[in-house]
Amino acid sequence: MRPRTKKIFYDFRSNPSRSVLVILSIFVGLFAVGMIMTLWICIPSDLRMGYELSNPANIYFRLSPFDNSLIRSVQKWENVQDAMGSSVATLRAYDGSGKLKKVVVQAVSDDSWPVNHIDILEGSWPLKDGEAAVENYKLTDLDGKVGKPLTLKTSSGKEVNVTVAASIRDQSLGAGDYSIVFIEPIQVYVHEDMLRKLEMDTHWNTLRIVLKDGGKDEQRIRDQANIYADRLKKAGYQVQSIALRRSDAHPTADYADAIAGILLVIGVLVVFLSGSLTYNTLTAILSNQMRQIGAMKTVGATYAQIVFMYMQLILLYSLIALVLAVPASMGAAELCRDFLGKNINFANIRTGVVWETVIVQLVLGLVVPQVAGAIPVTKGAHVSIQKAMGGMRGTGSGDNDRFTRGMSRLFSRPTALSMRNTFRNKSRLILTLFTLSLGGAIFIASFNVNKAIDEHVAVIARYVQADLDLVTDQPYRLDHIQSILKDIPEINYIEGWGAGSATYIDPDGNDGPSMSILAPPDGSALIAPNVKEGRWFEPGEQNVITLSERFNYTYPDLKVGDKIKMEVKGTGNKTEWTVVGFFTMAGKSGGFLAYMPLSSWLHISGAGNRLTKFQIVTQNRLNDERRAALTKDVETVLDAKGIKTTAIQRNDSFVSDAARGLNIMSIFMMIMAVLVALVGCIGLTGTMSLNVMERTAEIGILRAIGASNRNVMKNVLTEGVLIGFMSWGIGSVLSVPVGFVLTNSLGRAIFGSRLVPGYTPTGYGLWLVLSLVLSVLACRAPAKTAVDLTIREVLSVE
Amino acid sequence: MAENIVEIHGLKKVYREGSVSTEALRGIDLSVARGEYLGVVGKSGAGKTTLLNMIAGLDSVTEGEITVDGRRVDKMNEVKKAVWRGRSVGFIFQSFQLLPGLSLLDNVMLPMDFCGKLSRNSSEKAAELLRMVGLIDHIHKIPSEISGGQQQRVAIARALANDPILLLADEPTGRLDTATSEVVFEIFEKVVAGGTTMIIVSHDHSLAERTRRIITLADGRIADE
Ligand SMILES: Nc1ncnc2c1ncn2[C@@H]1O[C@H](COP(=O)(O)OP(=O)(O)O)[C@@H](O)[C@H]1O
Ligand SMILES: [Mg+2]
Repeated sequence: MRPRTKKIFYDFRSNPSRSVLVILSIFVGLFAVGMIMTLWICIPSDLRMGYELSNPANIYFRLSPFDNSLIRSVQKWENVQDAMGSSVATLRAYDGSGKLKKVVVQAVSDDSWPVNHIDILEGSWPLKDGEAAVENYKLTDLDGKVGKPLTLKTSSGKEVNVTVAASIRDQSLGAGDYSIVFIEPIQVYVHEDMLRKLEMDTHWNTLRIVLKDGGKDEQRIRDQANIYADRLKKAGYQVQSIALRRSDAHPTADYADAIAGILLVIGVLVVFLSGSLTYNTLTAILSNQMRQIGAMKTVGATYAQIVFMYMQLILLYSLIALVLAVPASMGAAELCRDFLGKNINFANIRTGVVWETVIVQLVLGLVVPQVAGAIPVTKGAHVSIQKAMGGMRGTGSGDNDRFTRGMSRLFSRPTALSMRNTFRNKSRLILTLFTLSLGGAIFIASFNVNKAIDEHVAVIARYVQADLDLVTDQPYRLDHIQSILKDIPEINYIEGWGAGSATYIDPDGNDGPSMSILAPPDGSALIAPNVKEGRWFEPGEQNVITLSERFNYTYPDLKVGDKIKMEVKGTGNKTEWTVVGFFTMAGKSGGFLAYMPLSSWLHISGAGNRLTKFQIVTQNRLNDERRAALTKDVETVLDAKGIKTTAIQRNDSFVSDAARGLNIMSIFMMIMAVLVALVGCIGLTGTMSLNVMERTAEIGILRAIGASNRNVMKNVLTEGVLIGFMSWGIGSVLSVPVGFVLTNSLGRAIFGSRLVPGYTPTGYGLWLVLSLVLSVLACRAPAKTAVDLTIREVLSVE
Repeated sequence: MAENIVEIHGLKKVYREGSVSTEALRGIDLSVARGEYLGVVGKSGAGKTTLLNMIAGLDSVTEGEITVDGRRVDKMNEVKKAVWRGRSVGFIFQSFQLLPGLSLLDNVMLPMDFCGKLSRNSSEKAAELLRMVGLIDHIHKIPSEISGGQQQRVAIARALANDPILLLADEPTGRLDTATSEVVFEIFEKVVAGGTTMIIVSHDHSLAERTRRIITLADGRIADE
């Protein structure tokens, strides 16, 4: 090996803590970039490709009962690729603690599921008589497990026992009713032989159609659906609802987009972070090499030779960092994908090494450190030998002394001295602060984004402030229900709400999607809407309606003041309404939801003043157990009077369902925060300890002229705390724009509008503690080393 | 081939540091003949190091001409200077300046490496030089494992690695005791006897008196010859 190569290896070995720091700085950047990029590439494509692979239906018809003969003829219609019938009904099932939960039961005849393929995650398939499969996403809500029995309750109240034979993934959840997996009830799949036992219609009621040539054109899907709808009506079927969906529009795609947007912002910031970190550590290494560079130049080394030597050293660091970062980031990304896949309901389609990422990591890993090192390396190689050998000449200019004197007036002399040290190397300080502040800013911003999400969840909760939501199978008068339930002492009061569904008639006069309608009574205290555009309706107003953000998203031309038409189910009448406002609720991928005054609802529902939805407010401070008991009591009391309940649900469970997607985003933000904290903490520790390492000689001199070890330690730690504190301050300020960008991209992806930024002291507090504690720890170790050296040793250190 | 290996005319050097400028050399005229053994003495701050640095091309010239072996050092660019210095000049510092991680042998081979003179015989040649300075038994040690005097002898071997025509030493014994200094000077005499031109700087008159010609610097000028 040639001597200069040996020198490179020596530099690498001689100061392990410094080498480890450089490698770590490069590693964290590559790790974060690798993980972020893998997720960024895989998640949206997993979602889209996985969904397309499931042969998703483009058109969902809810029809009056039909049988296989209709399916056979539909299969022959023009542009139909596949058609499938199923029987879908809403029943209830007992969870592990004996509580009843709403479940949607589907039965299909064909074991191969031609449309909306499902993935068997666990258990056996096809299903046999007496078996059921439960959709994985909410299996835990039932406390269910493959192999365990499950008790279903039919609409007549009969209990049917089945065995959970499989847990499955159904990516189309929500597609059939413009909804998302989070809000969908628990899904149970049974063989068609089970229909009779479950007292379900043995005919099909749901028709799913896949269009030929991949239905990716929304207009084409709409046109075909209209043609088919007419044909079905002519054939004597009632079309109860229509839902349309592109083959590449996974129901939770918005969430994947939101995640991708956040990943992109954080990824770019992390590259900067890691770059400046690497620059810092390399600068420190190079500044310790000045004399050696001088010696090498004296014996004839050219500028290029020296630059090349240090490039090789950096290459060595890069290679080690790469070897560690590539597999580590793959593993981390895999864990993240599994977590997100489970929680936003998609399958990991892309398997194996994501080469794009590895290539980017290779390029970044080889180039960024060289670029970061270019400035200190060329500077070092350019320095004149006379300067390099001159060493410490000319430090401590008058400027700094003035600074020290000024500070001494405010602080004690040693404190002022350590402040002078802090400010001595201005460009270095700026870079250190930049690195630490950026890390802090992203960290703090993650918490603030999280807070914004939580606040929005609270906004959703304000739509449903009653404690129990009772839905009866027949309409009843409010006073009737009130009088039946008046003897239950925990109930404070009951509001009757109008509830139903309607078919939206699109501007062209065709049947549009099915929309849900809710009609709170005038002055209801149980709803506080979040109006995004226009206004809410006033008490006594007639023929006015407010629409959810989903309408905005699907019909961008729809404006406040426009008139819309709809046909309330079961009435056969088309009615016209004035849109007075749009509200924000669970996101633009949520369903088509509309609110109108109760009086308007009573006018059109055709049920007189009878209602099916009752909002029950209980006394404050009912604990979970008593609320569950109350739920049972209400059902028993009603049952005794012959009133059947379709659902009696605690509203907080609705909120937690609606917020589920957002909570995933929350958790995801926290994962990012931890990742950034990792990068930030390594940056903090590295920069701080390098600062102190560089001052080993100075510390020796201070001790030689009589400073006690305690004094030296105190000085060093004061400086660390000062930098930690300053970076926290700047980071706090920077977190505002960073948080703004993140919240905005999240809001745009999920709500199609801005999300109100949130602020929480948690991020600020945590980062303050982290930066102070880490500053002290990072400074302590090298300072202690410096103090423990004998003065002679210190002074012989370069 | 010019008769004088070093020719200096009207050499001036001014250090500028912010608003402060120091005139370290105020007009030096000096010729050094081939094979000469020259001592430069003077008080601390007289400009000795500056003069030596100028001759070796370690720092830029403010004014004047320096010709070494027929080549204008003040006119060379950095790259040319580095290559030329590596091949033609050996330089010895007061503080040795060996590379800490390399064995003595590698330290001596380093100049050959940089000048593209590394060959199969290099290590033999380096070992030979180390034998000449009396360190043949230590060639695989690293600098921190030997004494200061021994380190300076390694530095001499390193300075001779590329067979320079000119050997420059800046206070080579400044950090050594009398006995060790004696060894170093004996080596220098051997080198000079081999025909190499040598210039030694020292603030200590008695040591420089061992040379054949002495000039005294004071305040950036040659005060005495
Ligand atoms: N890098 C420098 N910057 C400013 N002044 C310098 C520098 N190097 C040397 N000097 C000044 O130049 C003068 C000559 O210095 P030097 O050549 O080192 O003297 P000597 O080697 O004889 O002790 C001194 O006044 C010294 O302070
Ligand atoms: Mg000197």
